[in-house]
Amino acid sequence: MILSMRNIKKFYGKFCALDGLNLEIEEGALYGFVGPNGAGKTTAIKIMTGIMYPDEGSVIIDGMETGTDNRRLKKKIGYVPDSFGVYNNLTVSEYMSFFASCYGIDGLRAEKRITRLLQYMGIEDKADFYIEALSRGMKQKLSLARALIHDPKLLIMDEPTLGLDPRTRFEYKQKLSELSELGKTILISSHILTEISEMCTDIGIIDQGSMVMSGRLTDVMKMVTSQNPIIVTLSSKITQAIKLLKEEKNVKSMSIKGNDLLINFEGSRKNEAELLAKMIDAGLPVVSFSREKGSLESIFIQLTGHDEERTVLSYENQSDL
Amino acid sequence: MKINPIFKREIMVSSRSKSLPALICGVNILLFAVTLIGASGVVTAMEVSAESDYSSFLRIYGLVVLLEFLLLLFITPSLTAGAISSERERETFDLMLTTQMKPSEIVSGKLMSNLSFIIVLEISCIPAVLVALIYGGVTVREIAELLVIYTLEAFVFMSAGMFFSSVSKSTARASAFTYGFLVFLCFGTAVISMLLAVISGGGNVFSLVILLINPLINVANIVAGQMGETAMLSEAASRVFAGYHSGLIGFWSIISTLSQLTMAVIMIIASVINISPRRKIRKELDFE
Repeated sequence: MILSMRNIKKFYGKFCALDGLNLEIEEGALYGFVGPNGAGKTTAIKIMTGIMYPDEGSVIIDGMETGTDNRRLKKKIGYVPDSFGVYNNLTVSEYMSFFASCYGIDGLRAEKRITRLLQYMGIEDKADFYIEALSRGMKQKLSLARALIHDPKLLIMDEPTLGLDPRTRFEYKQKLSELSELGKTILISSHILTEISEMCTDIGIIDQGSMVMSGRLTDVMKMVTSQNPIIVTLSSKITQAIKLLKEEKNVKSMSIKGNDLLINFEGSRKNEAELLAKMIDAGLPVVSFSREKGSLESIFIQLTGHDEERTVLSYENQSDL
Repeated sequence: MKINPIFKREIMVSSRSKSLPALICGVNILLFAVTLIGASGVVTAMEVSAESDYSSFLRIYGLVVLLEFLLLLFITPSLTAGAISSERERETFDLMLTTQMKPSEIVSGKLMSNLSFIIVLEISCIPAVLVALIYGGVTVREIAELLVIYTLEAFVFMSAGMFFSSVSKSTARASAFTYGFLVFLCFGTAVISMLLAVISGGGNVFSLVILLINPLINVANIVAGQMGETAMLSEAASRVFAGYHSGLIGFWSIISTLSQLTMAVIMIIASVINISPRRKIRKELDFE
């Protein structure tokens, strides 16, 4: 386990931003961290990265609890914020060099590492450019290169592809997949659920400051799919099919949509197969028989849909000055 | 030796910037203008009266060094008031906190780079100040001592800027609070001291002690001493404050400078605490 957050609570005044959040990430995972606005994602990320401490609970990164040996701990984390966080009056190589020295990497070692990272991100030809001259996509690539300067084990990214054009987003996603294959553990907070479902191996859905679902993405998707109705398409004999289905104890309800029957079926894969066999034996002309595919959007809306959406109206961590 | 990365970066960026050389030029032009206009006035007066009044050059020196101090008072806060708040505005502050840099290193890097600029500014102003040496009256040692005091006072102003920057979200707000605080130090403390003297009917120790944190009085006292007006503060003290606190007055510069440095150190420590991520101490735990 590279990251473990246990029973994290964080209050902004009386507002409870995180209410007993539990999160665990296995080493090498590409973890999608999703939730509606104001769910507590950014607060959780700030706690993971050590920018903020929780009011209650513990955060363990690679076996080390935060607050114990922060210098060693920070070596393990690379952070890409939702804003670029760049100094426009520095050149690309100076910017990288500055952050390298913030991790105690200087001289030839830093130079070599910077060159390699800029090459990896495909921006080596921009090394002497001022950052203000870079496009949004380039800045985001630079931000990722900067986060990798000290070779962290865990990469934490807050909305990394926000505002990028489709091509840059595709390239960025590829880089993240490559990094994951290289053994880096990556946590991505994103609103783009299709992106999460394409890239990630694991997922955590946060709402109202606590985790409402987490696990392997394939397991989550399977679970979602198993809750969806079975769609049976028939070329004819719909009335006969309805009569047969009414006698089935696993069929809870059904509806008709043209030649399709939407069956609310509770049972195992074996039960599903038995039902199909029964329909065929009864001489029903079954054209197709399948579960409606689950999407991350559907589960996200199902899990996070509530009447009253909480939003952090103001974040006053500092003084009132 | 490992150089503080923030110090290195700030020096690199400011060496490219046009505003700092422009500031150095502006300050020097102003100081030289005052010096030259003053000196030419003295020379013209000598030609008219056929009398040599060399003490006028000493008065020009006094005017120039006090003007330099006022310029420092005006310039220094603008350098540090944005030290932390500008990083917050640029959204780079959180990034720095995620690196291996300690909050104390962030603050010291910012302070060192600004202090180095002030030292460069002071050195560049030396020729304008040295005009008094032409006709004597002030020694090189005295000028060097004054520059040291100016550097220490600039450090005090910077620490105030750093403190307000660490608690403010915007640079504009931090600047406003810093200037407000320095105006209080230079003039507010004098007003409070006078009020206390009036209320207590002739002054008390506290009405004099509060002036120890007044940088303007400290510098004015030192400059007056260099100009031969050694009894300025003691005369003022005996006039305003009925009691004469000889011990305090005798070591005024040392005690005042040390008091202000103590205040500066406290503000720097507070700045470091302000920017450090910290755990909230829950009230219920305190009573358990």
